[in-house]
Amino acid sequence: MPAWFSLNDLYYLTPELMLAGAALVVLVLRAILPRDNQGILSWFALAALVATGAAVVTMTGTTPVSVSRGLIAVDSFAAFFKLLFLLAAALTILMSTRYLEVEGASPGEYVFLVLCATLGMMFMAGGTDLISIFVGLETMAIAFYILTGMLKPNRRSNEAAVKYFILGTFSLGLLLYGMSLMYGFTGTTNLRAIAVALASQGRDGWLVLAVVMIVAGVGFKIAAVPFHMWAPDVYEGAPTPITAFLSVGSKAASFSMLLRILVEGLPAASADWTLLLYVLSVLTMTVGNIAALTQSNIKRMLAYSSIAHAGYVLIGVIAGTPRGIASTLIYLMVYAFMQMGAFAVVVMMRRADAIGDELKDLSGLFSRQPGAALGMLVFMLSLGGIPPTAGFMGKFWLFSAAIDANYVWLAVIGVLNSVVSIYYYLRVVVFMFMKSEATGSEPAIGPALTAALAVGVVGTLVLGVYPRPLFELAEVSARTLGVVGIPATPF
Amino acid sequence: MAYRVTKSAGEALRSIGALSTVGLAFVLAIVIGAWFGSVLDGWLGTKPVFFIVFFFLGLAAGMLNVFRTVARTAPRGPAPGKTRPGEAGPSDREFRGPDE
Amino acid sequence: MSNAANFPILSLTLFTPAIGALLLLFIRRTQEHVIRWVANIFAVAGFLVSLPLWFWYDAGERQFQFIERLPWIPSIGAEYFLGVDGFSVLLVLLTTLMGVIAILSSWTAITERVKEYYIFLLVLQTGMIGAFVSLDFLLFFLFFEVMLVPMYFLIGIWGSDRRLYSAIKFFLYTLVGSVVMLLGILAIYFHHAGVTGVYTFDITKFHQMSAPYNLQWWVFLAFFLGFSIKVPMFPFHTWLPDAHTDAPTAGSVILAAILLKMGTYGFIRFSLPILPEATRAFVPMMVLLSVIGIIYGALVAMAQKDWKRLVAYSSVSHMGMVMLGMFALNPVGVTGSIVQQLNHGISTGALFMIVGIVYERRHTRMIAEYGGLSKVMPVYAAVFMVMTMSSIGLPTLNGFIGEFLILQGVFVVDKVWALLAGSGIILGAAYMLWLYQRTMFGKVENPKNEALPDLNVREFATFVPLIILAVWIGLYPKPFLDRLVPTVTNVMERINPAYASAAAALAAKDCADNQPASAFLTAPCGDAAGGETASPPSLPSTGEAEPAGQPPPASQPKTAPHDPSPTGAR
Repeated sequence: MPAWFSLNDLYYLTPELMLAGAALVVLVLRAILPRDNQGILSWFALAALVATGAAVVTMTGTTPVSVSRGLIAVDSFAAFFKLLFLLAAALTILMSTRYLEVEGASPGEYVFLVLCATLGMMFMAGGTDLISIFVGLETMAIAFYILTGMLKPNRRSNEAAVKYFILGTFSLGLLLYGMSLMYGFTGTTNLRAIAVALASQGRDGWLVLAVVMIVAGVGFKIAAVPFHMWAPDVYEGAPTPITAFLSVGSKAASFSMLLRILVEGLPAASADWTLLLYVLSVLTMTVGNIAALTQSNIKRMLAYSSIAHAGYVLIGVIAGTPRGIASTLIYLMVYAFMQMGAFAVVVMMRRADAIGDELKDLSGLFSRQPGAALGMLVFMLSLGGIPPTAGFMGKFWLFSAAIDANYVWLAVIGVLNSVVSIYYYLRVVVFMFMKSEATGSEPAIGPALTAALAVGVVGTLVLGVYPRPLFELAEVSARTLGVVGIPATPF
Repeated sequence: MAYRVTKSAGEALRSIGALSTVGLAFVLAIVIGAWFGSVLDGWLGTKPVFFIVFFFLGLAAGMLNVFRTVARTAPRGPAPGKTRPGEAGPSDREFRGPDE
Repeated sequence: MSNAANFPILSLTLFTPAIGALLLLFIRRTQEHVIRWVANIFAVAGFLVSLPLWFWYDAGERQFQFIERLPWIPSIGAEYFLGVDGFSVLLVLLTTLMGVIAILSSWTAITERVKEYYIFLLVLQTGMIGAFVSLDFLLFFLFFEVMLVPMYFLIGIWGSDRRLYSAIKFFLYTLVGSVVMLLGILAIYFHHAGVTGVYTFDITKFHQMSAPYNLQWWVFLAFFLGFSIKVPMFPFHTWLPDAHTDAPTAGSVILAAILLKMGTYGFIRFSLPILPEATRAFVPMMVLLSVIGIIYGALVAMAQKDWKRLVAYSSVSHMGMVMLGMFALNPVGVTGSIVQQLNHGISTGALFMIVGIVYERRHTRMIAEYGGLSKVMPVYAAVFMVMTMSSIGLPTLNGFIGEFLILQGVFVVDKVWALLAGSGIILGAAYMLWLYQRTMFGKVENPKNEALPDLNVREFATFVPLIILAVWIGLYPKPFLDRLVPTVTNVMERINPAYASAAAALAAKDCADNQPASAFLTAPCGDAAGGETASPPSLPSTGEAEPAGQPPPASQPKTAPHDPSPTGAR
């Protein structure tokens, strides 16, 4: 009998351990450091994230490895997502430094929770067992509940936190119910073992029920219609950097979980979940985009746009082919750059005398902050899928995966939706470039925020013109999905 | 937790009442959806397509029920702290309900 | 004369404006004079570097020339693949020339946000050239869409009246078409990969592919949506009057002269050769829409009170002509269609500049506000006269050649089409001359017009190249027609093989000297052609007969599940 944990396992879990250690150090330092010096915690966390990223790259070999008796896989697929999470977390922290000052919040527990959420995401991406995935999901979710309500004196933030918490709990319950049904049906929680068991057992009503519940639970996490009702309120109420992190990190993590469970664990039920996701995808794209058209608040608009983007990404999962999975990965990575960048501009608009998240606050931004306005232009075009930005390359991959897998109508609905979406993205551009200036103090942009913005712009443009490295990385990663995960011996 | 749902005891009781029905509303929506789906399947002989779809919709409706209840009872109103005292700033916005 | 040094001339042409735009970014926005000079210098430089394309282009060679090929995204087979044939050479030259003219014409017209204005114009220039020189479908699409953004800004920021509305309308219309086209591109991409096992976006490969009719049919529809919105063809034209009217002068000029050509270019480069069977099947629909466009555009133009809107609607009519000639699907028609594209660029571009000049002076475009300008601005009136004549197709000017070739090509296919198109030309003459009469002749009744200054040297300079071109094409079109022979032959080979052999013989014997049009038609000038296939199609004697743009049965592809003949034409 192999031990639960061997030193070998610990070696492969170095990145996660590093991040967990860093989070604990932040917690301790927060208690020790004087209140005025807590800003340094952000920089410490940033360094930890970078180091973890380096560790992830080092740990990931060409051949996938399964550790802890099939609980966790260390493969390129997980590494791709882990790097995405670390990037998103780093950008979040860069965006937060000045924002927290303006809001008068202390960075201590904030940074700690961001690191915890990232840790949870990393387990979600690596998990090859329903249990490890669920534990990762809970870690992430609880951190986000608190982060959402982080602005204690702000009622909107409180309200968002309560809504998110209660609905999140229900959805997690749903997911857990589905998982337990799956366990009851197959007698195992290991995804590969489930796949093997299902292949011999065939389809059954209870299995379908389990699939529906799992899809619904994940659908809530990725804010897919009809499980999206929480998203606009939560996105609007949460601190802006957290909104960004929520819409990028949490969404990407949920997609990694979805891919793991469906593609790796439930290929036998693919007819069922494809049907469900198809409906989900069409609804999500359409409702998200149409609702976004009428928003006057940028955070709400980006919330609905984020809903719509979940719909696009689902196209890749539905296609289910290696190309489809690769396109999901590509789009999520691209999305990280553009969405974080767009939120960086929104964060910049938050000043001592203005909330700055209304569309009209952006009026004349180009003459006040040309750099930020140009950056926002790039992000909006990219979100709308106009070349030569990364968003176009991402959409190109998604739609080509759909056509390749013969989902032509899905692709048609997708492209038409992206046309609709252009309308509201261009509205932002209109305000920035074609309206006279808004009142209020000058939006200030500190070095940290500039860095975040620059990462977003460079990522969006470079991947739009020369996407080759990302494409190749994603294709390699997509191929490792489902290669390992069988425990050496059954429990 | 620094949030107070309501001010008076009466309102508090009402909130508790509303919140206590959440579980029931959630489950009920799912059961109705699943039942309706299976009935449709029985009529049309399409087992299990409608069951899946309506079960799914039931889940969504249940979620929506929960959301509505929470939205009714969650803290709301102007958001202090958005503007620093003494400084002119944009007025606080009203709470917005769920948009469907 | 050839590109001996294997010089990357296309890349240079492509990126010169982009480099100019990049340079402008670093000039302070208050130094407007410097900005104007830099923009103009780069526009002229762009034109100069593109000039060798005219001299080095070898019209005897049927392959694409000036090829540049680098890997771009190998995993999906997309390449940085540039190359031109005679058609694209002419369009690239037209683009670089119109770029110079548009940028020069903005010298005094644009007074605010000068820096951004020139940056957008130069970026637009790169986008347009890129679309014309790309031989990789994905790259083409990239440039095709990149153009939207600068044009959107040009209309939205420097436009007039309802500029925001017009800008977004332009953007969304074009975008709908192009995204659907993207799906079409993907469909043939995967089909090609499925058949050959090679993932590539290489257009020359697609040109050799024969897709099943069913696929062709759908892809044709997708391409049709993309290109016909851009042209614009009849039901999709509604964005054009708005965009043209509200765009700044240079924007209208570029829009009319180049952007609209993107649609017709797309048809000739992609739809016709890649989807020949579907193209033949869609002839009735295309012809119907073209004819409606010609007549409807002309009638609506006649009713306009706004000078610029009138010119905009005349564009709809003229582009209908271009499409009609193309869908005659014979060498004359297609040649005429291409020539007419150049003509339209020249004359309509000039007409928009003419409107722009009085608009800059008077800030109104209402025709009723003007009258008797020929007395106040004689040079202006003379230029306007030349361009009016060019636009209505007066012999010795360029418009005549194009319209004549088109009508000739259409005539042999169906006399009724030709008749309807001809009536459109008459209507065109009517509204243009009426416009001229209302604005230039008569007494100067509006006191505001009494002291209008005539063209200054810079303004006159912008017209000189256009007038020269108009006369050149009108009197001696041979250099242009020669350059088009390989393109037309290649297209014909795919779409109408009977004509292709005739055209090839013609190219070899160079008997196109004086009357290329009729030479094409009566086919083998000499003995060539018809040898390996059936005899070249005889001209139908009645309008009733099946269209002559029809290959003889022997050469019809056997795979087509449907009868691809456009029998519904009459």
